[in-house]
Amino acid sequence: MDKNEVSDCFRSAIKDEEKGKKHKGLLFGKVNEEMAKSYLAKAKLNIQLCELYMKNGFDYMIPEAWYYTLYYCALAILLKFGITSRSQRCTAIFLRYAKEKGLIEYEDEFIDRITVHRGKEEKSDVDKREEARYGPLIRIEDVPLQYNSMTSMCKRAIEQCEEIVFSDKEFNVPKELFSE
Amino acid sequence: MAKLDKASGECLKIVLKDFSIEHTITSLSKEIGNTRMGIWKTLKKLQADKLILLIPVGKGKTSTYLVRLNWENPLVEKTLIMLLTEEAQKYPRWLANFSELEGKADFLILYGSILHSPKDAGDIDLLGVVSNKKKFGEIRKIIEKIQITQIKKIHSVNFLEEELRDELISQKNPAFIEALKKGSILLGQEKFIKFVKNKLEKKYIG
Repeated sequence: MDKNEVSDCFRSAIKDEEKGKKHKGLLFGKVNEEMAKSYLAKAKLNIQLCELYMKNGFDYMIPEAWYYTLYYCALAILLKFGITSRSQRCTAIFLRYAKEKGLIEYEDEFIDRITVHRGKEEKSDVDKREEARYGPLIRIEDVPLQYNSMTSMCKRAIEQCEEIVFSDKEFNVPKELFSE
Repeated sequence: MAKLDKASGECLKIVLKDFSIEHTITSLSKEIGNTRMGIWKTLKKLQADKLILLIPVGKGKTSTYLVRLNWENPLVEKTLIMLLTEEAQKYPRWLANFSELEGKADFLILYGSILHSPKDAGDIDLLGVVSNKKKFGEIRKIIEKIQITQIKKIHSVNFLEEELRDELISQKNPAFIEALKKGSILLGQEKFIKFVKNKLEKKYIG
């Protein structure tokens, strides 16, 4: 992970804020434990929704609930660093950087799945969520087939996110991200 | 209520939770890992504060002392509630996960490897006590809801007070004796203390 890519997420957010625009990056502020716990609770609610959707035949809602389980876990982890995100792309970029620096123990798969790819040929759960949400299908063949493995994966993400959110450890953003 | 030092707190908790033996200086020294002299000083201080009773067995200066909680002193229960609540606060993750059981279970004990090595633990062991059988169903539903969000299996066992007493005293169930001794009382610390005082402690009296 190129540190400049992570730094750009912070820089662009500051620039946008200075111009009075809604930023599309990462803002560094105070660690917010309570908000981190709230995002974790929201992640759990989404995995509970999956079960509800599955029982009631709302297949097309499930990829979105899987995605948001992972995404809310990601936002919870960022808040332990004092970071708020308004960019899906930057959320995954920072998590990958934190993982590579050994700052968090979080499986690559959870980060890969929420990674925004710019190229048409590369896909992640971001694209699956969009297809399920905006596409015309009510039934998605893959969903029942993937249900157990995806649900287990989401639960693993929740477990690892809980370890981070309820940890006493201080999670500091490395200074190298703010140096010119 | 004066703040207790760590060793005093540990002694009180062990005497409360490990009801399976009559504790002495030697047994407490073994459990806590302090010297017998260190434990003796701690116990003398707790005795001076009227939190414990030191009951000599036999005559003479070198007699063994049994260590018992001084239930006559109302500060004993208050001190124990504080100690158990403090201990439960070490597990904020599980307090948050099982907070919905507050008011459903009289008390709830989290025990097993999830306490000391959560990453390697195979499951989440819970021991609960309820005041009436209707609560079993309510607890089961809540546990099922929590289970949806947890990758590890929640192994929840619930009893009425008398049933748990039977498991501990008559059946001498080693798993539950260990759960009380080493587990953390996540919820209902006050009711847990009353359970030990009224249902378990009496077996030694008289």
